[in-house]
Amino acid sequence: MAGDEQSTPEPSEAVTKPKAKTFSCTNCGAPVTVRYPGLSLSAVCESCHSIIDTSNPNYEILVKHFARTKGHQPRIALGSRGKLFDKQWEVIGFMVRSDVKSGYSWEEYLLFNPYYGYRFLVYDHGHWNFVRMIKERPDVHSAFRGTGSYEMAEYNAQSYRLYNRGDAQVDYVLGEFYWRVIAGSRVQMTDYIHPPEMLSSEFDDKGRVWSLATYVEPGVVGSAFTVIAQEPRVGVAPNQISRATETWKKMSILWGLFTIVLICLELWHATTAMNQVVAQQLINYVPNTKTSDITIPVFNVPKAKGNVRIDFRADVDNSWVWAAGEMVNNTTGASFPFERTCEYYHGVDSDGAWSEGSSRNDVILASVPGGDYYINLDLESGQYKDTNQRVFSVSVMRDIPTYANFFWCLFFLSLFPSFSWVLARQDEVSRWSNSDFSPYQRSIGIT
Amino acid sequence: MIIKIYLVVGFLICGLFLWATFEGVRILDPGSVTASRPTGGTHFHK
Repeated sequence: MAGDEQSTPEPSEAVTKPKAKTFSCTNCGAPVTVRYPGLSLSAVCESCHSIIDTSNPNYEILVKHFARTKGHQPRIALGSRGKLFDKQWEVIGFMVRSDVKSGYSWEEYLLFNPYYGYRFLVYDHGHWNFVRMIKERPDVHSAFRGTGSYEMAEYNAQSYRLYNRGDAQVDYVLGEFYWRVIAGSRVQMTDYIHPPEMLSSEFDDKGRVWSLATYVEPGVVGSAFTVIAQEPRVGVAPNQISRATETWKKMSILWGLFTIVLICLELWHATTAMNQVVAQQLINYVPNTKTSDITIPVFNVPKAKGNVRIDFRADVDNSWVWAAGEMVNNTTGASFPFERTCEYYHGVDSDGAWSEGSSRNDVILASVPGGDYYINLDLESGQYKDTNQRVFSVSVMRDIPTYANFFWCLFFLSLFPSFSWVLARQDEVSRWSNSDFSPYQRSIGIT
Repeated sequence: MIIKIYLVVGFLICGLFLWATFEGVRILDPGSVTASRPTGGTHFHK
């Protein structure tokens, strides 16, 4: 936070009720009230906006008529009190800071509790953060992830990823502060994120200060303080918890578990399927003619329920054989119709040798009850160059392993997670859109 | 909420797969046993 080049003063355990002190502004003569004399080192005259050194017995002016005083109105009135995270806080200072390079600005409210010290509430385009200073120095290092290396900070066994780095300056101040506010003072800021937290370091010639920000829902701030002109949230804040991302994380775990279940079931099915030949027949036919009323005699199909595959093989060479028929239950008369063609062509043309089709074909009949069956078949053939008798082979197999069901189920199982992933990615791209260190740089067209 | 819905959907899909496997049913594969007339060779007739 601005001006935290000095360490945050820790209030004493035996703090008594503070007595506000009023004095005349040494610049304009207007009354200036300091709510926490002794702790606050500077205060701003609300009349002339001069910054006064309150630790100086002569109330020396630090900055006269601090520039850019217009156009900034605190959303939370100075002096107002509110209960946030089970503690009572009083708003004693307000400042506007901005990024030197881009001009991007945000608001900071200094909170004070005589027993717990100072905190900041940071307002940034509809988003709020509750910030406290930390004394520990996080470990900053490079880490490899995916295709590149990223700067990370480790704090409290948590990894924070580099989000932003730039210079920040103070544009406007109001109220009192525990450090001597210097107009236009600049610090180098570095932010690392691990939603809902953000670790920030501020560095200048006096040293480095670390702070930890926790994202706060606007409603929580609104119920603690009277917030004037709370704007709708813009985009996704750097450390805002994205519901879509959280949903995607949970859903991807479930997707993985369901996929493992499906794979296990498919393996079990593939290894335990009967895959048994229950009938075979060789049929003679005369090429280029129709052969009707062929019957494959009754055969038994075991197992109460399952599929049946009928394999066809024909002696085709630049010709075709078409088979149409039905598998009929000898007891119930239930019929399973089918038709298939075996055709194979080959030759040589200007592009070289070519071929198409196959002398084999098959059909899978689904959900066939066990029992005795026979097959009625009609054959038709064409494009043969001679009419020598040929052989058509029919083979019936029971309970063969199939894979289509597995892939369909996997497809349906992946629909929800795919949609969830798209939403999560949109949120993450939006989160990183204001960062120079975005892992989605290519996606959002930053070069 | 969406996670609970997905949990139910996931169990239903796994159940569907198990049922289809036991019954020998092909999911979303209607009409595959018919409509297989000879083409006469597409390359052959060029």
